[in-house]
Amino acid sequence: MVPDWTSPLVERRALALGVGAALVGLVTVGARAAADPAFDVQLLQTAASIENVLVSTYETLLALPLLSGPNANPVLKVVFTIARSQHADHATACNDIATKLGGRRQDSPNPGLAQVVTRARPASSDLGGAIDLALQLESASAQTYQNEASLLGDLNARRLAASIMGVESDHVGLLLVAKALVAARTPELLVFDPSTGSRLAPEIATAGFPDSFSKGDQARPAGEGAVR
Amino acid sequence: MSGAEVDRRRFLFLAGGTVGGSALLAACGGPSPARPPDDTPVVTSPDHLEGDLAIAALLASMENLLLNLYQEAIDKKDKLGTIPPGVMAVITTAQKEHKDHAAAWNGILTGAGKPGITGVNLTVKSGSVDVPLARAKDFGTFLSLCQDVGTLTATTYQAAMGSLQNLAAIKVAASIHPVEQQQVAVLNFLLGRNPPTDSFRHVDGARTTTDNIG
Repeated sequence: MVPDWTSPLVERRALALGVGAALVGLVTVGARAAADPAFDVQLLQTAASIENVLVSTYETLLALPLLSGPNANPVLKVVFTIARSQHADHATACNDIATKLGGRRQDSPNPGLAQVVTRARPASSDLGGAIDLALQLESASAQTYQNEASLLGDLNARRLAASIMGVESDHVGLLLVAKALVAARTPELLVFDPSTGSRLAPEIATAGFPDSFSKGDQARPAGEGAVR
Repeated sequence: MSGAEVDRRRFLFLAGGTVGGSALLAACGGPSPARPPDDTPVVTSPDHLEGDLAIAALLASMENLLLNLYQEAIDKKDKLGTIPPGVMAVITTAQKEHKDHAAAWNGILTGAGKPGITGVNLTVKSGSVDVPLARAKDFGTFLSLCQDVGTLTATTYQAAMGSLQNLAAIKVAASIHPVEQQQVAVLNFLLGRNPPTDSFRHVDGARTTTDNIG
């Protein structure tokens, strides 16, 4: 379900954090982006275009024998299935706000990432290749939202970006661990089991959060997915 | 130099820029948080910080709380039984990252002429950490507590991104929030839990600048 980003609860929380609505609109040095609905629409369309690539890619991967056959990895099947549904909801939410700001829906894939998928397709039929592709797309999505958080002028759009960023980062963390397990030739440890914690090597257990700060260097250009 | 460091420096540059730190502080300072009901103790932010600086202090206090929580496992390993090498690596790596995050926020505070935050979020510590930490007798229970506090911190970052006014501060928060969430995802995996199915993260439960820090 897509939340209502203008709900009183969200507004109350923002006020409780000590930054009052009275400040909104003040021109200050270093203040957050001024409202520019046309630019915000471009950012939201780009975000939606990335979500569209993620949805179609997960659909393709889930149809492969690797993930649909009797020997499918249960964790990846669950993670990819949940992620596909979440990305569809994200695209809907981005398009909803884009249209409220006077823009058009973006139902097409991001052109840059679509090329990435095309190039990766031959290798994505094995476990490592499928994880690599998903990780590349999820990282691009998470870091695009990271970048957009400071660019969006519309407060509800920024809150949406912050909300989705957490979900994408969940995916990234888990996929980084999955990648490390496959690289170590121990995919059998890719299971949801409370005993997992005691069986992982240090370099695999910590693979999901390699840096103290997300660099944002995999973010897609702001206007790459804008509707032309 | 990391992106976060660049952003922190930009924040500091702006804080000491031609407009002057006082003007920025005035711009950062919003109205005081809504007063709680009369029967609730009033707790003010440290040094009466307001606006973005109060949020920076809040986030530093959450990072310090996590840093101290992980230190408990390092100091009292025996109490939690034998901690496997992979779990200990998670503890030490996560602790190091929280230290870096706290340093980023304290750099912003000290750059604006305010004292850094060395204390922890006492509201969360007394309300959600002390009792479960005392009861934790194995590393699984301990990791579950870390997951809870990590989730609370990530939620607070999410709320902060919707409230911060200063562009550089938003960038710092946006560069840390994904890392907090990645840590939570890994802790979930280590605990054998399925990933959350909700398509959106919500700000319910996010900590506020009325929390007690010390």
